[in-house]
Amino acid sequence: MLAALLAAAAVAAAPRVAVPPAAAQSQPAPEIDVAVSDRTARALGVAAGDEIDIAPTAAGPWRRVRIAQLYHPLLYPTEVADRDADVRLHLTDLQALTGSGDEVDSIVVRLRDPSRASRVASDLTAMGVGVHAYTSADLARRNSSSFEVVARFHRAIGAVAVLAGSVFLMTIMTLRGEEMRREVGMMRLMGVGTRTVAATVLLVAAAVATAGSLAGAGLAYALSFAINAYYRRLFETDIVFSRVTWGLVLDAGALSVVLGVAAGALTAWRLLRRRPLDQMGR
Amino acid sequence: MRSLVFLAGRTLGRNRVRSALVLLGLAVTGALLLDMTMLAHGLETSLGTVLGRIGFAIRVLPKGSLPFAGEEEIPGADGLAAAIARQPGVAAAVPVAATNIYVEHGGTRFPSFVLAVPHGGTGGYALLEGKDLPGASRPAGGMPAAVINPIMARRDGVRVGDTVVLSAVPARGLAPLAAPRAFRVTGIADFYVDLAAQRSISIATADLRALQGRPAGAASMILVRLNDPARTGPLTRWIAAQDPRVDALSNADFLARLATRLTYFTQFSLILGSLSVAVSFLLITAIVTLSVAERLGEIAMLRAIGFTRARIAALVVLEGTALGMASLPGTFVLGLVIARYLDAILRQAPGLPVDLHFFVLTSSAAARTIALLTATGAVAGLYPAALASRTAVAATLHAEVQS
Repeated sequence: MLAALLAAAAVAAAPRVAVPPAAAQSQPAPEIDVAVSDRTARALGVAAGDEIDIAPTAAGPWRRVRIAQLYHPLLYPTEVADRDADVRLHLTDLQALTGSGDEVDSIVVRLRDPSRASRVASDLTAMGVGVHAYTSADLARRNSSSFEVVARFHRAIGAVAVLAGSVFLMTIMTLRGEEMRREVGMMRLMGVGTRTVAATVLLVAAAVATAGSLAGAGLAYALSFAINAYYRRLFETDIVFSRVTWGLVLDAGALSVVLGVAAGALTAWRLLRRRPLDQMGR
Repeated sequence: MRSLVFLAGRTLGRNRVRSALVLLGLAVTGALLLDMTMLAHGLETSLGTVLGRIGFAIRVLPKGSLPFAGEEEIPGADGLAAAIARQPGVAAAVPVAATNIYVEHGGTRFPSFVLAVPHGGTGGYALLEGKDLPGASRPAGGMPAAVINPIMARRDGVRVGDTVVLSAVPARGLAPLAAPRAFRVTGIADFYVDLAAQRSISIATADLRALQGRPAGAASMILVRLNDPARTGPLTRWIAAQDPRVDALSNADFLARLATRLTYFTQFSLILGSLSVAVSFLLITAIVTLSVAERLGEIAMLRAIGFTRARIAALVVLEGTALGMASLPGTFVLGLVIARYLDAILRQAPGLPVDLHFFVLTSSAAARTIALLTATGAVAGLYPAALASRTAVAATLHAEVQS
């Protein structure tokens, strides 16, 4: 089984970082090369080729290293607000720096046959060497519970927003109906049938809802653009914070039209239950 | 002013269905606004309450870290704690160490958070049942003592008087790498910030170091209790000057450091709160503008009997303000119901201490919501007020008579 493994190891202990004073740069060239994220380099004001001091804790021991390259990290959503310095070292260098011997936090295993992942994970755990092995799917499931909670929270907030929008639409349609009161009274006095009047009110409601949906979609795109532009700049990341999809637009539009027509039906009922002369204010 | 209030009230009461719908809409958007103001600083407020309950005014941590966030320790913490304890106004300085450990009871072995304290009576937890760890002059020999949390008692059936075996390694096969030790459970205690399913156990620091095979002296954190809260500032500065490898944080400093990790909630509440204010503004503007358009004749009449343009504008702004204020009871009732529901959702997130809440109603959150809704009502009334004050008296009255 172990012959199937192509192993790579990583240590996740976070070292401390400091920029040495310019006068200290004349010391012998450091033996350790590190990679620094572009965000960290900007925060520290350093570039490739510069030297920095790193230590496993604020108490030291400090070690001078050379920045061999800058890299652009792929940040997870949970990491965007994290302002810790992001430095990568060769495993042996970090183990020497932290004095942790050959300890690692985790071992990442690539399989020749990924379909055997569960079996390999079970076998590794059963070896009884004090480790627990997880498949990528297991880890994704374990680590995604926070995102599932946030997604449920967003859906609940969305429901409240839909409720607010529904009441708003209902209010606007009621106001529109009141504005049409005299008009409707006149139509009925002229002999226009109640079905035609009701259809007219429903048509107006549907038109208002459709126009509102179109304007809302435009506003959503503009807001989404602004939110992404602002937060990408704020957090120095490529993560998409807000995405307006066609499916979302169609769902919102359909819901809006249904609610608008329902509000229109209520308005038509309220208009038609009164006598035409009452509607004319006589 | 009284006449303006009377007129504004009569206008809003004239069409009850319309006013009720507007108030319902404002209550929903206002509820969202209230929830967002509660969410913006809810976790910090909630944690502040827990910190106040624990009673330590200063926490000394390895520089740049948060309590128990990693394996970092303060070297020479015992000496630093002794020096802090000698400072004026200090009641106690308690070095504590924390890590994860394995507990065996009834043939099963499970992981647990361990809090090591120098001796009993330090206040690192609140005893609920049984006895605390021995005091500073603990008797030599005998089985060492342990205090567990109610979760371990409930889930694993551990009782006061039981024996548990603690080990730094998860499996018996690895026991030669770390000698396990037996402990007598003397008490059950509230550890203040336990996670929902977290087992916790407290033992003496010397016992933890023996289990780990590490020398004494270092600690994860030093908890400082003060007799005089006014000494907080000077003491944090003194500690920072004493040892540059540590941060001495007052409760306020600690919450501020935590706030930098909670930007998601502050930004989210800012965006949604702004949208709530915008929707409230549109709703009030629409209703008051339509109301003004319907009452142009009445407004022209008021102008004709001596109301100035400014008083007409004030009347309309007052209507908008009154709408905003009238929505407040609905806002608070609905907002608190929704907040409880949303809080229950977010509290399902893993790794969250049981006593923490995301939505916390504070006086400042309530005051901010009241001020924002009232101000939104007033600002939303400005546009219809401008329309009303510009009404041409003669032409409008003429048109009214003709219609």
